[in-house]
Amino acid sequence: MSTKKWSGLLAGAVFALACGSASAAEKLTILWAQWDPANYLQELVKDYEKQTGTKVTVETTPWPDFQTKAFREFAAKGDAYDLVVGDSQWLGAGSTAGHYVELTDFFKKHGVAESMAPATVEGYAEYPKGSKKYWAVPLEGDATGWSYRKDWFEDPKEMAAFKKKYGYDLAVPKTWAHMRDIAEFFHRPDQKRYGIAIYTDNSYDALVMGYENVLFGYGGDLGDYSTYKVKGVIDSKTAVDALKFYKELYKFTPPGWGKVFFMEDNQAITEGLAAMSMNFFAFFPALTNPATNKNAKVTGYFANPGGPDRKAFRCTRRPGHLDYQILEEAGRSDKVPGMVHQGRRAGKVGATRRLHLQRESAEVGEIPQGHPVQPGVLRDHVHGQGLLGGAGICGAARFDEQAPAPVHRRQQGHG
Amino acid sequence: MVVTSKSHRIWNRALIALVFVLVIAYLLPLYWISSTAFKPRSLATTVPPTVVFQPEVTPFVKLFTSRVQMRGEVEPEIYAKAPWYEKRVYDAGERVIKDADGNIETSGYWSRFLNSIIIAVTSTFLAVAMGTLTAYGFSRFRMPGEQDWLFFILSTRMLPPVVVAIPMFLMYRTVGLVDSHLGLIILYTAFNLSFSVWLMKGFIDEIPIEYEEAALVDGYTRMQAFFKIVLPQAATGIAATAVFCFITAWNEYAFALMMTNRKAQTAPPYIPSQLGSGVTDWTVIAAGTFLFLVPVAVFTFLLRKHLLRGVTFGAIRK
Amino acid sequence: MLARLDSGSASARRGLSDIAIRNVFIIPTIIFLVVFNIFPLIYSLGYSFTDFRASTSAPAQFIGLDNYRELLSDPYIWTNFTITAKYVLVSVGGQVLVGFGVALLLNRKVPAKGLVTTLLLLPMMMSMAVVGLFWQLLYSPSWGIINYVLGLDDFEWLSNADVALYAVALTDIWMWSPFVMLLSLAGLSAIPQHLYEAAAIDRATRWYTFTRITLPLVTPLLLIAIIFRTMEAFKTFDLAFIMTSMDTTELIAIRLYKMAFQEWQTGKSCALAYIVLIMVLAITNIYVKYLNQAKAR
Repeated sequence: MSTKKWSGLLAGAVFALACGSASAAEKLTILWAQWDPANYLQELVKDYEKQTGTKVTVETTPWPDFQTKAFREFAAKGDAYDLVVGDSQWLGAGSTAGHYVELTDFFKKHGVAESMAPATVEGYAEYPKGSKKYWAVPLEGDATGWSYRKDWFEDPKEMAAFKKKYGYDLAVPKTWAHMRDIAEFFHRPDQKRYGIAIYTDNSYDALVMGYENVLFGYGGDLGDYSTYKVKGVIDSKTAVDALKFYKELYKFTPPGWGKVFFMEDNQAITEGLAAMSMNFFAFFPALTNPATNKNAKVTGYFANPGGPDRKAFRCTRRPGHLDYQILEEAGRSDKVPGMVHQGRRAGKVGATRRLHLQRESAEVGEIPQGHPVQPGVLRDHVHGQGLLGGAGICGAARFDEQAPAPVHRRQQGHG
Repeated sequence: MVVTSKSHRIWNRALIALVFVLVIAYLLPLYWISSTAFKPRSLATTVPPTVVFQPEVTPFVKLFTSRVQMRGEVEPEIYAKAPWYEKRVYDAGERVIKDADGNIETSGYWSRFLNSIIIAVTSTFLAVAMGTLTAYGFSRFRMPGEQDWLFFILSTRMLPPVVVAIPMFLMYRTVGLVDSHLGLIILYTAFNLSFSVWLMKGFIDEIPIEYEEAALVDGYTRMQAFFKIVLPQAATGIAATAVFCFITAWNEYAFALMMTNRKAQTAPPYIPSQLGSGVTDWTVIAAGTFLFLVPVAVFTFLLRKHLLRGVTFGAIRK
Repeated sequence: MLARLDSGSASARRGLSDIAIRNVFIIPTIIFLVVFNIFPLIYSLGYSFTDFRASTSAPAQFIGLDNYRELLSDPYIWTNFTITAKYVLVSVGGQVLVGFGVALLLNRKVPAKGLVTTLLLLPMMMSMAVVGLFWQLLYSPSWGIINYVLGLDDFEWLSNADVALYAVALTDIWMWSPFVMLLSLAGLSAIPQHLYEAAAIDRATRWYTFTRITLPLVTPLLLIAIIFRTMEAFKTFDLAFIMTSMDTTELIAIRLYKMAFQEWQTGKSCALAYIVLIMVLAITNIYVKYLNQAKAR
């Protein structure tokens, strides 16, 4: 179940093949959202370029605008992008509306399904569920965690004051209730210092992603996945309590925090505004970098705390599987199964086809509950979701330069 | 009387001082855009805002390159060998992406800037050319229902872009014009055409008709008279109209947002889409904005005598 | 007013006839505008009676007036119109106050007046999208220059649902007040000086001179500015779209964009576009009437 819960976080990739040349295209363009993984992808594809001579460009657009832009391109039957690394929740719309090319044959040929955990394939590649029809090659998973100000947490004066006020030690929160106390404790608007930075943006899935952390932690859910019923689940007492709690956290945010997403949450740390800040792991590289975060040395990281009954959801992931075969397929449009759109340009014969690559997430690295995350794990997470393990053309090593070896990592059935 | 005139003079001076204070306050946002384009990233969003700083060109280097976050420090030998612009990027905690041959991967800014130039220049040329002819037609000849036609032409300018964009999107996708230069050029030409007709009509109305009549008497055909007499006379007007059309096309956002994605995307929808990864990089945004605003500032200065006329569709002349 | 060429003159008969020239000059423009502005509207009229969704491959179904009925009874759409009305009122009102006020200040001997005027006109020549983007930074409660200069501490401009619309309007005022100023200055400088001299001889108060001489004579141009700005403010998309995405700042053009390009309710959005179109045409009519009046003077 835990994987499924994270389906919203996981991106997939869609091939939208340019019409025209049936031979290898000389240039491929990939659309992805704007974050560090996309920049690393741009660097990674250089290996592919070297091997094949095909130039690959990664274009990015901010997350809030990402879906609109991708679907506008689908609706326009455009050929601006050859591959879109789409978000997992687009799988249904993308496949049923005919924007994605069916990849079932591709899956069989390359044994994609066998190289990943069943839950991964089910959640991020298959639609409808149980149909054995695949539209995506799982690529990357991510989860939210927290960055915090170690120097504030470890200040003896603060620790004493906290203990006096709340009756227990100031440390990385193990429960949401602790987190609330800590946020309240550090919330000092007169000192321009605030408790906590959370997602509040109503565009894309920002607010929902933030709330889901608490919702799942409280043991609630968005709906019943077997019956597709939402009522009675999303409005259950647990879900409402979780929402009330999330709203309470909003009391301790910096000013102007009514419409924020990744960028602002990171800025809360870099500008020394907040004690704790929620964000996806993929956004933490900017925080570990002293050039972009003057507080980098005093910034720590921890995973989501647990709910009232200490039930905590696990963040799971494993390195993705975008292998270069898929890029080659993109270059040879005639081999790609599932022609969707007939050539749209007068005078040009060809077809616009789309392949959907979705990424996987499986049980690889598990972030320990309520404990500070070691930099190694952090890097592992950032890189793990940072792309491609897969077919071994380029491994995570490419990203790892000058970084210490992973501390926590459990490899499982990874091809 | 002396007293009143003296108090009057003081009053006047105070008002002039007020004008200058207002102008400075008014220009503060522009100063802030320009200065942010030359700031180190760490000084762009500080509490409180940084006013005094050592200007640097790093934002412009970053604007044109594709980069990734550094992990750890760069090796000293590599740093020492790097060209100055690469050093600037290293200094900012990032490194440029290079291909196998060591060529630096560029960002999408330049291609967007180029798209903006191509689309704005072409559509301006078309709108002004067609507009001038049409304006001459309306200015010099009788046309049944003339006022209605002119109103029709003007009304096309008043349509909200979104209203036009929805059906245009559907039509363009059937003929493959979504995300194409031609598609935007057509839209911008149509959008500017009405403006160009109205403005040029005002300019041509001012050219004394006697010149042409004299030419006709001298044996010119009407076409010759138009090209040899009217056009040179209207040169200033044509230039002013062209600059207005150019600025409108240059600045246009809504159509570009809805009708383009990458290939023909212009700068206005692109600049707000490049916020940086991890933390919003305002210095790069400001650098992109700064370069984009420079042509507009120059043209506004050149146009200053014709602004009133331009903004009233040629109805009011000074 | 204007002398027309005498189409009967002998010389004009050489080469193309005048009627032919007129048609060659005018008709391409008309055709161009019909094809690229009117035809799409006819096209979308058809879609406004269907449940068409451009994002799917499902064919459009004719549903009669359902889209219009739904839209007109949708309270949210009326909220969008109310927000738009509020925005128009605040932003145009602000522009008139500031623009006319500055014009009064500038309507005297000011050193470097030409330069000052040109500098003031700069913002209005800029791209709304880029200006909107940058004002986000200026408005930031933590590191924005505006709160710092005005000493507003951490006043929330764009993230407070009650304030955001006015913050956008304020940016619009910053951009477009100079437009009103420009027209007002033109009006002010056209007032004959002897009227003021006569008023001074009669020992008229400043207020009297202002309300009886200045205001009536500037009004025609001011009205043009107001109508033009009203129309533009009504259509506002870029600025508010870039700066915020609150429910309280969802202007009708933004609602329309979302309906068409985010929710992909293509048929319904065509219907809403028509409702908006009719309103815009009404304002345009008024605008042109005043423009022609100003021209006739």
